[in-house]
Amino acid sequence: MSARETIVRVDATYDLRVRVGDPVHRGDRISDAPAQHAFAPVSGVVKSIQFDPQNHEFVIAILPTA
Amino acid sequence: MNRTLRVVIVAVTVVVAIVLVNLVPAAESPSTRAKADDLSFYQTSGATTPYPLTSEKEVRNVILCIGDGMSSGQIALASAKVGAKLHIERMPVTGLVQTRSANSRVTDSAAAATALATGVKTKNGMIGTAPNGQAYRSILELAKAAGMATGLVATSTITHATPASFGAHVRSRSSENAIAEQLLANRVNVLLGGGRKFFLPRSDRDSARKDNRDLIAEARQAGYMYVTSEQELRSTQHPYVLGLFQLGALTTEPPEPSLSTLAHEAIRLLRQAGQTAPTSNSGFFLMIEGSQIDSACHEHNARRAIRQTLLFDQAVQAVIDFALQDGHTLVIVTADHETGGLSLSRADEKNPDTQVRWSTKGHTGSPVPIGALGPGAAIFAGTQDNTDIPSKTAQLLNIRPFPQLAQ
Repeated sequence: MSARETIVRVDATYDLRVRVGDPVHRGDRISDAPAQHAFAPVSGVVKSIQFDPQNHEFVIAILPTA
Repeated sequence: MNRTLRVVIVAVTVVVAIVLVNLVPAAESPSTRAKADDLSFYQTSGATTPYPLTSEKEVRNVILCIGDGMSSGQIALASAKVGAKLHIERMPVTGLVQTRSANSRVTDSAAAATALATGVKTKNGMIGTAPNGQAYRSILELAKAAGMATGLVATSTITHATPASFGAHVRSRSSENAIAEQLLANRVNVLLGGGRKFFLPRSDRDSARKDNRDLIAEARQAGYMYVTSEQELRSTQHPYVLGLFQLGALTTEPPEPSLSTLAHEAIRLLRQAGQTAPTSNSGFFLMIEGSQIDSACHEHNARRAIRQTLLFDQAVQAVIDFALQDGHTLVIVTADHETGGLSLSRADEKNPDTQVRWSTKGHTGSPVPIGALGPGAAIFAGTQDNTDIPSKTAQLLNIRPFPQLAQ
């Protein structure tokens, strides 16, 4: 994980609205999850999406734009 | 930035995204892929006819098998891969189960398992409680109160949402420290799965606990036999067994005991525990979860979904073999929800990655199948709500009232 990446965790019950490589803007909805963490905290590009089975969450890494 | 440059940047971004998405399966390591492709553990019977119905009425034992994230798509894919009917597909009584939770058309495992355990709808994320936090007794807890031996088996941590809902009551599925404590306090006879890290004191480097309680030492003091290997599991005769085979979820690879072995050994231990119970012929209630079908489908990994479904089906076979021999065991096979929106498309049977379509990275609200076998199985035919399953089970075990508030 790059130090510049911003990590967002969202409940994996719900579908994602982003895929790897997608550009996102701060405040964009990135998941259908009904929670405050379903929005992009920064503008950038989605660098990776991993499933965390223990916490049943998607771990989304966003590389912020300069 | 002029318009042409912006168009070029957007186009490049889209191409890169497509390339990355298509590279995901290739990012799997060769050894991981080889393991996922090794299905030699699974033996097909070649039989296509349903297992027999029984005229026996008395239910002494109940075994509930739950495939996490498994619906007809996952079953059909695994069946196509091995070229034979799965044992799940040969259940003589079949139906559908509606899965919505109290606050969403799309349930999670916590709310679904709470419905399957307590007969009560709750919000996603909650374990063994109504949406207001009021605890309801699970069918496992009520079976225990009626004198039956009880067991939970999973390939996840034993504190994960599905097994937790049968033996714990917490507002959040993430409270796995408290769930571990409650599973032991509930005196569930047999607990087999992963999750040792939630039983170790914080002073242990492998611990995931926030306190220094050593639940393994506490379990031993409370009369549990603690085992960590297949050999230890097979050799124990104890009526209370805590088997934790990994710090986290099981790998589902040797030398771990397979889910089928865990199911077989759990049945053996519960039969022994039932025979030594204060009331003779007290029977047992056992829940077995194939926990990792869900993970495979969240990852859109068709090969792993097939393998996990077949591992679960192999455990179902062990359960059915026992039930047919016993004659007084009700077997219910179902799922908590569907994951991935999996459907079969192109018929390239040599490559499951191109054979399936996924419609979501999350769960879907589609109904899931149910199959039943043994005494009382007929009442599970047709379409039903997930809360109906423990209600019908309670009816067959003469447990009343149900649902039942915890005191």
